[in-house]
Amino acid sequence: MLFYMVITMTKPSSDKADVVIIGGGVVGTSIAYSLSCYDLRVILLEKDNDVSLGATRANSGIVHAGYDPIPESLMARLNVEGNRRMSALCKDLDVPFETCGSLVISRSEEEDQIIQQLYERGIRNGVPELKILSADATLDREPYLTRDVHSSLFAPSAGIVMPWTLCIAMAEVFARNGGEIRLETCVSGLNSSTSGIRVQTNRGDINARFVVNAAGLFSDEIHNMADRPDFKILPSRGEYYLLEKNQGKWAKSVIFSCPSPITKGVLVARTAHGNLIVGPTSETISDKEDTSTTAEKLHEIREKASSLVPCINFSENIRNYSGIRANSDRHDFIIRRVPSVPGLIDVAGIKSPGLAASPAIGPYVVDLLRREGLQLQMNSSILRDPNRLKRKVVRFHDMSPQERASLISTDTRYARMVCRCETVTEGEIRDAIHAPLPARTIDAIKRRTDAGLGRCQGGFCAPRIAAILAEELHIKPTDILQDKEGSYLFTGPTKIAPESTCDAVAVTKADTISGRTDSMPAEVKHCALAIIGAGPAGLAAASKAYAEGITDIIVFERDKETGGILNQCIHTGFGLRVYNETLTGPEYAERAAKEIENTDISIFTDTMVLDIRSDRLITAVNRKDGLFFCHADAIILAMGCRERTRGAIAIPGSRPSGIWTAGTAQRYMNIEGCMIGSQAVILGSGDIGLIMARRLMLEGIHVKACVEVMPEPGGLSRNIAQCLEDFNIPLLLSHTVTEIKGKERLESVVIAQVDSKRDIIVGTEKEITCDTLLLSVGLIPENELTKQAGLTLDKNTGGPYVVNATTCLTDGFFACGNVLHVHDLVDDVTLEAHKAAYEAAAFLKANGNIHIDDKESISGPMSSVTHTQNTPNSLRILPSDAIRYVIPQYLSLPINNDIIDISFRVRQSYERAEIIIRRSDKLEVYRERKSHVKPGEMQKIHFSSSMLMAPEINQNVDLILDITEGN
Amino acid sequence: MREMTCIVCPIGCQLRADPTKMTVSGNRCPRGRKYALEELTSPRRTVTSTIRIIHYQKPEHDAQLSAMQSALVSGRPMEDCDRSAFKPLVDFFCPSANHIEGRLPVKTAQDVPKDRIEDIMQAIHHLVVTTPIHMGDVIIDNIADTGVALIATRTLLEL
Repeated sequence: MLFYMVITMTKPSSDKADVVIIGGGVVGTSIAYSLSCYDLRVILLEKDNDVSLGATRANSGIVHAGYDPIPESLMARLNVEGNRRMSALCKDLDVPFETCGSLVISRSEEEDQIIQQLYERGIRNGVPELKILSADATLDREPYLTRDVHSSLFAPSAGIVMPWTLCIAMAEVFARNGGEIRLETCVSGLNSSTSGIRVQTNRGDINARFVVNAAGLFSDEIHNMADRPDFKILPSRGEYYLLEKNQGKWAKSVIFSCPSPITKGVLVARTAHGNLIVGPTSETISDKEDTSTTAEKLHEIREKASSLVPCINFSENIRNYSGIRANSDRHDFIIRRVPSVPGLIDVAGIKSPGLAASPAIGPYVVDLLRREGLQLQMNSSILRDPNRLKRKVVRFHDMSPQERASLISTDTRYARMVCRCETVTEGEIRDAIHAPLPARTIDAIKRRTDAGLGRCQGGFCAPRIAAILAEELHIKPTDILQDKEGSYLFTGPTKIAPESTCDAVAVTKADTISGRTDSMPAEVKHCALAIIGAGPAGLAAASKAYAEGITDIIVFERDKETGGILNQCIHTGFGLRVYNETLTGPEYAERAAKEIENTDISIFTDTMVLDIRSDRLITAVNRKDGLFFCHADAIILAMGCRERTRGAIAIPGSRPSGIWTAGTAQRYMNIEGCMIGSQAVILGSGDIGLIMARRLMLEGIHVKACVEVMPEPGGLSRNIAQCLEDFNIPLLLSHTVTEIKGKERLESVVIAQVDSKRDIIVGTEKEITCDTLLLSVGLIPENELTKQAGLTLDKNTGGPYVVNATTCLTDGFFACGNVLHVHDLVDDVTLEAHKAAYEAAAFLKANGNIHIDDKESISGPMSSVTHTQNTPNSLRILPSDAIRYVIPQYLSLPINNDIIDISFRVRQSYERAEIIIRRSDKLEVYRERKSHVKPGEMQKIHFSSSMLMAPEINQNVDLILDITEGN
Repeated sequence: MREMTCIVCPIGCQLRADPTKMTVSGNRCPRGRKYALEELTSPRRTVTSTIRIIHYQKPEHDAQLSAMQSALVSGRPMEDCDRSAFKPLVDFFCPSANHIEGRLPVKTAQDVPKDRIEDIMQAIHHLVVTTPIHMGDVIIDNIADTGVALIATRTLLEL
């Protein structure tokens, strides 16, 4: 089948076609798909480098029920009909679709009336099962709605679909059945003649018998090439929030606020992926391609949506975007033959509910073409095999363990995880590149596989996807595009020197260091201790646990090597505390790895843990062992953290390439060897941002400014000195980036000063030209597996709750390093990992699961340890309002540690501070003076447990950690 | 009097140094004093960066590779898929069957004069090494005539 496709895709395009479709959106591809079953030569022209790049890729993804359009209109008919067809179509094309129903919420008597009108209209339009729900019935269905609900209109037939997936699926089936898709092909003229229409493009002319104008936003311009002006497209922009999957729970159905003559409502809905989508706004604009977002409109969305569904947490935002509706100056869809131009069909003004109507638009247009004289003869190969009109794709994410295992047994490329957030495998990425309509850009891969769609927004997977694209398409990294033409990622390799001047160096060998040895037992069923992550925390935990006599250890690492993020931190400044000397990140990592080199600890690299159950059953996958299960008596979580992305801080503006999180940029520069731009601005003065400022300057990228929204820098003082001051990079405190400009690649950012409430001071805006923006705006502990294991997370730390130091509240789980809370220094991570190893070892010994020096006995399932919660017998440590978080949150009773270590972060800085621990019965147990206390620096105190003891302490007493201005 | 932030350790003491009397205050340890005095006379920094490294693939690996390529898995030729997703991106600038290019992290073995950093970065641009490299290997014993060695900061046996 692949062979057949290649032939049709690569043979020289003839200049004749029965039908030319202009526009590769969901409308154009629906028509193309509907024509795929006939013996016709059909060419689909798309001006961009992929289909679905117009309104199709940025809309609500709602399959409206059909109560909104005016009765008897074409829109009403095609909406209801399209909705009816959608489910079967999506099933045939393997497109995620869910009939989740929709609710229009009334909150007043006037709105009750509007809802009544919508109901009556819906009945006339033939919307099935439509009904009006009482307030109680509405809240029964959607318990998170605002309490002031009056009534609602419930349309069970409404649904949610992934619009671009639908569009791509239809295009793929069209291409697979001999249809030709010409990308990056712009129509410049339509000349009518007796034999048809001559379509002029930048890639040659085509003589077509029929031309279907499905050019969306540009359909008026296409129409005007052949005929006198008739209708006009009035682009209307809608902005959106897309929130993390943990917010998807707030909406079971699609929830609309009631439209009114004055304000258009917003909708809150779960997407077909389980995220929460909130929006859109509506704003008439002049530029048909200006998909920027604006601060005002994003604010408007937050206000409106919060009044509808109050518990939405907008700090869980992963992306803002906007789409442009191809509204026209007509009320109805414009689908008709153009009387003065024989052979030309306009399919224009397909505004909302165009997506819902699209499955009906294709057949409707085909019928129109037939009536115009197009001969429709079923293709014989499709008659023989109707399945040729269907599609099936591999979605590892949605598979059961059995399906996954059997898939991997056919091709181990499905065992290597490329996108950890959405669980997308290397095999799926390669499939997308070899599909009938090949994916050729990072975003094209995202649209086909979901890789990069998740919470880290491509921070982890993009370098890997870029490598696969470069390999499969035989292109240089400089030719890899984020999205449309011009959205390049890299400007060249680092360390460019003319080949002739390169010095091949004869290296003087260091004394004795051998390579790392990783062992991979073929079958794993059980281990005493499993460690998730082989970064500094995981490696230190492994070596210390081994030293404590736990020898049956497996370390799981998703990367090809151990060391985690340290491998890309090539600067110095690590290890002063642990190794008593200043090391670079890779050196620190190598030392940590050497400590377990001569042990029989198993390290599984290139291995992704997919799931952890609360009974400590681990599901993992790698290319060597396939999908496998491992039951651990104890688990140390050491997954580290991820970076906050642009979405988390919702910077308005356009969405060009050239915006990177600092850590991703660090990987590209230091490991991948790619230059990421020429002029940069850095937002956020966290340590990674500062370190990267210096790196960019050293490697030849000019850093114009480092912008920090807070009145003081986020990173360590020494990094301000050696990374900014050394290079004369201005540090602009109380400033932020207010807008991002640039169509395909970043062109400039607008910065402005903010006041003490972080509101922008109008009039202070300044534009800085740059092609690169680095974001160093915070880190988030990577706790997806922790949540899967059923552990609850502390909102303040972002990590699991712990007792004493690293013991989680579920038996047998321990956490250390950045997964527990974000550290400033790797030395602290190592020391915390040692505590985790002690506590895990003590747990294993106490539960009799481990017999030191008798490995044979450690087999069979866990029996003695049951699933319990550790909290009842412990003492809480609560942060006061001035404290951002405290670790640990609990101390177990009776307290038997001599010294109690507490780590915490403050909310503001103090020149001189008093740190106080009080008991909830007001008794002060500890006080310490400290100077230069800053929010950016983790604080630590140690005190003797005897201070807590008298008078006697029990679980009814809490400890409160507080900080005040000292004198 | 000159004010400066000590960069020797993460504490980052605020130092005050008197260039005429050569006195230092604000330091919590002797390393801070040494740092401040050096800043006054001849400021020094450790430079870290990366250099080009090339891994020549072994003949036995090539044989393995062609065996894999000839094997058909699920109807399509299996390529060198054990590596490609993990090859450094820079290798794709000049893909070659017999070698892989990557980047090796390096540092100056000691601090170097701050005003020589640019020269060192220039010199670093011209260096190419081949695997295997071990952490601590001396790449060049006198980088840009500073008298300071440039050393590898990680082991790369292959890419």
